[in-house]
Amino acid sequence: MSVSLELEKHRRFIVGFSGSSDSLQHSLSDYLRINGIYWSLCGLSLMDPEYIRSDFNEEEIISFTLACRNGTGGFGGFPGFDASLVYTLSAIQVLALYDALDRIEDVEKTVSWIASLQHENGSFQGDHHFPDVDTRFVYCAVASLSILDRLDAIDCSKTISYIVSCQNWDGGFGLKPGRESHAAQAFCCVGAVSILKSVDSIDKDSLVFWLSTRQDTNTGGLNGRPDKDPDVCYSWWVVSTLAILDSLSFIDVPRLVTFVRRAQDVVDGGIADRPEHMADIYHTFFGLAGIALLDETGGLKAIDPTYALPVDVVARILG
Amino acid sequence: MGHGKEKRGPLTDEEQQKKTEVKEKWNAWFQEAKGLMVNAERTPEETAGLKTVLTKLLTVNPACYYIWNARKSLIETELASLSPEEARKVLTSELHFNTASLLKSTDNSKIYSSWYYRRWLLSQLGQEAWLAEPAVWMKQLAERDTRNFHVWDHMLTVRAHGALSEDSWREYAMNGEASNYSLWHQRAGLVRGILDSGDDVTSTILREFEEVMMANAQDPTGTSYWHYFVWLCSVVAKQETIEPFAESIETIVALAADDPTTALPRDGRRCLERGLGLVGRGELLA
Repeated sequence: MSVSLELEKHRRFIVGFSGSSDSLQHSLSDYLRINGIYWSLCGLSLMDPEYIRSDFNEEEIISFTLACRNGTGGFGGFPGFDASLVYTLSAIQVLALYDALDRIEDVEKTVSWIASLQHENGSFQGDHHFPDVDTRFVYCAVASLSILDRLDAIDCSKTISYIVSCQNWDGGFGLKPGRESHAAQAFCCVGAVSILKSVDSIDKDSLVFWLSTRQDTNTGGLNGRPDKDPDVCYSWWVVSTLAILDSLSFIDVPRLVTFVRRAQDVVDGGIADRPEHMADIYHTFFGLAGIALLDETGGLKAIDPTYALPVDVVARILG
Repeated sequence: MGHGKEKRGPLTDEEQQKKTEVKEKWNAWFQEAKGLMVNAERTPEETAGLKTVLTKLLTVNPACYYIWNARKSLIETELASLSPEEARKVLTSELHFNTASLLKSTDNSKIYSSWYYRRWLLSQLGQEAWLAEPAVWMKQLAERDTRNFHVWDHMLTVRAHGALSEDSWREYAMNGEASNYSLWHQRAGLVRGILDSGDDVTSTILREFEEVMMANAQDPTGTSYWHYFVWLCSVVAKQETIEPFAESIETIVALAADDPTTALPRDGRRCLERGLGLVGRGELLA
């Protein structure tokens, strides 16, 4: 059964989602608003790069994004919220989509703030409130600094060594050394070493095998860990990692694309974590992003698997 | 992020009304908290009021990292003027609050900021507090979500603080269900430590192959232990000879093929192929 990709409905879902400021959920999700803006804009960009200007007020969004930056130089999830690497990357990605990176005043402050979060062993904590490290923060730091062309601000060699220390017995990567393998952490680690031009420093063969066993034989969907349910977002975390490792042949692509398409809400638009579930902006973006990487007939623009941005945006950034 | 929410129809008027009420309360409490937070010269009553409103905010929305940050700042300021005894009482009360929040629901137990706050509290309270952690979380792991990687991460941090004996950890991590991948991960960590010591390498590997056989008997359709089998084969491949392990490997292959009514899962077969390939015995599956 062929399931068509309802792009126009997803477009309306994304635009409508951003305008739903009356809802309780909207208020409660203020803390990750900048993430939501990145997911929305990047999802639209994959349909048509012009949508981020035709469907949204560019200047309002740029102003909002810059307002998320505080005196530390880092960005919070919402204006007035504390800075954290997770929101700093999304803010930088939003500005990159609008070709507005030069709107960051005194960008060195942002660079210094990011660099100040690196530990002696190459790991990163997420902010200056808690010292907990996580490979998510490594990716956020490395990707942010790469986009700002300031990787020289951190010790890249130690970062690479740290990532290598996070690779487990099964080939996967955890949130820190010795922690259980998770596909999203694999993306973070491989994405970071890819940016640092050191993919060869990891055991690629073991990781590809572990990632290739993420596909559920019944539904075709991908999970993040063995024996967990498939979830559309892993159509990005797993697939992008395999794409970086040039190993997409290990996935049954038609079955995965069918799983993602079946998770669409064909009435109201948007994509859910799995079929028959409620759509949300996060799964809408990562579902589209996964299909953009895989499906040449989806009508989507090409996305870069390392930076999770359209390839033409990445080409512009990296010059 | 919207994981696991089934699609449903429009809200009823009553449901919508309730959500509107919660939203209005959230917005009011948030504004109240912001107003109190910007005032560096808070009176004791205002500080108590701020703690109360932060509690309300975290009860409604514990995922909001900003509120946990604010609570930490508040407590730090409070501690600065207290005696060690008084500080201990405040921190202990905070620990109880954090425990209740984490245990309230599965979603709550997966909130990063909540765990970060907890570890900050433990670092302030000292070793006695770290030592009390296993009693809380090992029980949770056993009875609730045995795949919660936040709890596993926390327990490994507790262990790193010397607050969990090796015997207790081994007993927990090496006696679990065949189909729990998280347990196999912990097991691999422990066994790697044993192998790295260089003691009893052969007998350890043989014992671990037996664990794979027992897991297969317990759950013939599982895949977790097959990944562990691949790792064991990678360890064997680094030994001087595979001969001590040949019979175990052949027995496992025979078990996998034993019951034609229980099809080896696709990934189980792929793991078996990979493992045998690593030790140069791929012909066993021919």
